[in-house]
Amino acid sequence: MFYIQGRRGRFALYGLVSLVLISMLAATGCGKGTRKNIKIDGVVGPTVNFIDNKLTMAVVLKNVQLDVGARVAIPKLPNSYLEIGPDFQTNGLLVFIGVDATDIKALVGDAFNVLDPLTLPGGRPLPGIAEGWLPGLAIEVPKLHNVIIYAGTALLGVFIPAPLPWKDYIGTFRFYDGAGDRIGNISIVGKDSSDQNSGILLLVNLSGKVGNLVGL
Amino acid sequence: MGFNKLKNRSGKKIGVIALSVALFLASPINGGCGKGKKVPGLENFRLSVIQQRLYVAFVSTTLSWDYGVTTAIPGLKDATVTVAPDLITGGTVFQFSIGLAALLNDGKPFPLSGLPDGRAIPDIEGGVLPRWDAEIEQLKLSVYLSNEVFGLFVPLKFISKKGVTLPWLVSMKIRDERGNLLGKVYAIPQNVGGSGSGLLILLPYLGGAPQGGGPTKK
Repeated sequence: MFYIQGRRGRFALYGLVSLVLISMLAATGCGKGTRKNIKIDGVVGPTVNFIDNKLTMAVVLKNVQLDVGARVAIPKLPNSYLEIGPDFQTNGLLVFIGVDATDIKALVGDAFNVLDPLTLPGGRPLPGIAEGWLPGLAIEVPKLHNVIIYAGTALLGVFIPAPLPWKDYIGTFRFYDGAGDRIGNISIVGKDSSDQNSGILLLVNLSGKVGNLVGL
Repeated sequence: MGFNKLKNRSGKKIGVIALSVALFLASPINGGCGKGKKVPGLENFRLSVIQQRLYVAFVSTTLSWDYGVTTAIPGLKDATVTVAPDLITGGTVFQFSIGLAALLNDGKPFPLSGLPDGRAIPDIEGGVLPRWDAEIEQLKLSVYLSNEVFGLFVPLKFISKKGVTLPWLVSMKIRDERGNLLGKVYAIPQNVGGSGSGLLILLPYLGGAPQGGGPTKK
């Protein structure tokens, strides 16, 4: 059995201790976490629900204003839609996505055949996905550039462009539903080296609780 | 915990990330014994090219982080390293990405070099590859970038509890879930001067598609 020693080893030890301490700050147990979602400055949500046979994802961008709303059809998902409009509570922009269970069943079973492989906008890998990419489709939305819907064999996700101040950093966190069950990951995507492509990435795991709700 | 707080810690976090990669990569040496069947604690090794970018990733099933970070690699153009909670398994994903143009240094190859201490790179004809050295905090990484092989060297010391150093080179094959050979991992022993040991990953890469064979044989 070999161990790491020496100057690098001491750094390794320091790093390991730091890692443990940082992890203790963020989690109360190995992988258990606080089961509370990260708070993002200027953003309310996202929230995920299953209502009227639709998996809904909603987020409010406080720093984006839009006087009128719009409902946008989602290509290849005929029973689903994306809606944007003013949020009356915050005066920000509400982005609401409703993906019908029928569309989810059709999409996740055939996503790799009908959709193009997409990473994050700008080319950075999708965090938390070993492949770094998923089949996806882009939806052009006024004021928001492209919203991207991702789908895998047991995954559904959305990237919502948002003006965030950070650059060259992406923070990824476990995402919990209202009952405290982990249903996916949320990533706060800072601007890339070209000062673009910041936003919020939400990836939902359809192999567990959400999948049961959807009927997969 | 807010994202700002996490971001402010990111400088130290980068070092921790890099170190964790190193620590994690070291763990197969402990238990793998070079059999080449399976790397303990490592799953879902991925190598792909999407939209002119090379992506290399694997999942540690033994680490379970509630959060992670993606950041640019200082000094290496258009490259990122990520550690993030795996969406499917509850493990932790380690990802490395780089633009192909940067991989080839925009047509200006990096100087051909062997291992950082000058020894030949194992299993590579001539023992040298275009090499780029990057420092993340206190950790010096060497990245080998060519249109045939992608490599990563992390300096580490391998020493037993009784003070016995790794006496010889140990290598093991990395395979995907279908058994296809993706590359090899090497534990490089120290040189006669007592330095230069570390962990080396070599992944053959040709024309934008992962190759079925191992690195170029001598």
